[in-house]
Amino acid sequence: MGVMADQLGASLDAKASTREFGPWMVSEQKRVFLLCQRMLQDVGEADSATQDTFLKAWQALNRPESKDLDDPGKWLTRIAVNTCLDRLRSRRWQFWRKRPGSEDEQTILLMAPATDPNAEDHVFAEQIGKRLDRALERLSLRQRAVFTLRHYEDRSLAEIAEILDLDVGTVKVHLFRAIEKLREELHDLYFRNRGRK
Amino acid sequence: MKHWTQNEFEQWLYGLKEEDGHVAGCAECRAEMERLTLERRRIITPAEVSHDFLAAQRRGIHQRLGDPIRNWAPLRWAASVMTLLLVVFSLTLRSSKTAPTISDEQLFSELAAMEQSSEPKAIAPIHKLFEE
Repeated sequence: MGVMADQLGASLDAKASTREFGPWMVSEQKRVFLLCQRMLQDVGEADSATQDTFLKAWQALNRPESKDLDDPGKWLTRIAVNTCLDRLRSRRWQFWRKRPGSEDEQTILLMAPATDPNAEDHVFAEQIGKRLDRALERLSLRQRAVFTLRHYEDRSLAEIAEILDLDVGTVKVHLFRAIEKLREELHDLYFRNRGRK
Repeated sequence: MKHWTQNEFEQWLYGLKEEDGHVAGCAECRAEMERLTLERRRIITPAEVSHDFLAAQRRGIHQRLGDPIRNWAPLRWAASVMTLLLVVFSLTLRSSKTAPTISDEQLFSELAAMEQSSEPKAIAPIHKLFEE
C-alpha cells in the first residue's frame, strides 16, 4: 500500500474529497488494473472493472454511514476482487464471447524489458507466465481469486482470507486445489531448467 | 537423507508447507529455496503498463465520478424490470386475444332464440341423423 493510501486512511474522518481521492487512485490504479487483468484475462474488461472499482470506492467513502478505514489498500482489493468475480459470474452466460487475442494485450501492456545477462531465460519465463495466465481459466472463481492474490500480489493466506471473507483453512484448500490444477505450468515456471521429480 | 520434492517446494512457496528439520540442515535444499525466492520476487514484480493507458483510464474514472448517469448498474436493473414487464404485458395481451370473443348483442340474440325455440338446442344433431 502506498503512502497516499496511508494518508487517505488517516484523513478519512469525513467524506472523501477529490483532492484526497485523486492521488490515492493514482497510487493504487496500476495495482488494481493488473489484478483485474490477471483475474479477467481481458484488457478491456479489466479497464472497465478498474473504473467500476474506483467508482464503488468513491461512492462507499461518500456514504453518510462510511467509517474510517484501517487498511484502504486491502479494502480496495476486496472491492476489485468482488467486481471481477461478478463479471466472471455474468460471463458464464455469455457463451458467444470469444477470447481476446494476445496482440491486443501487447498493445497496452508493455512488459518490462529484459536487459540482464539472462535475458533469454526471462523471455522464456514470460512465455510460461502467459501460459499460466491462460491456464487460470481452468480454476473455479474462488480458486482463481485465491491464486491470483497469492501468486501475483504475494498476499499472506490470512490477508486473502480477510479480503475474500473466508477462513484460512478454506483459503488453503482453494490454493492447494489451484496449485494441483496448474501443476504443469508451475513446474515449468519454477523448475524449467531441471528435470521433473 | 531425503531432499524436498518440487511439489514440496511449490507448497512452501505458496505458504502451504512450513520449513522442517531437513531443510534447516540441508545446504542443497536451502540453495534451492533461495533460488525459488528470487524467482518469486521476479514474478511478483508488477508488469509495466503504459502511462497513456493509465491516464486515459483516470480520465474515464473522473468523468464517471462527475457524471453519475454513467453508473449504469441501477439503470441496468430498471431496464431488466421494464423488459420483464413488457414480456408479461405482451403475453397477457396475447392470451386475452385468443379467448373466444362475443358481443353483448350476439349473446342476447342467441339467448332469445333459445328461449323462443320449443326444442332444446341439443336436439338439432339428432334431427340431422334422420334427414335425407
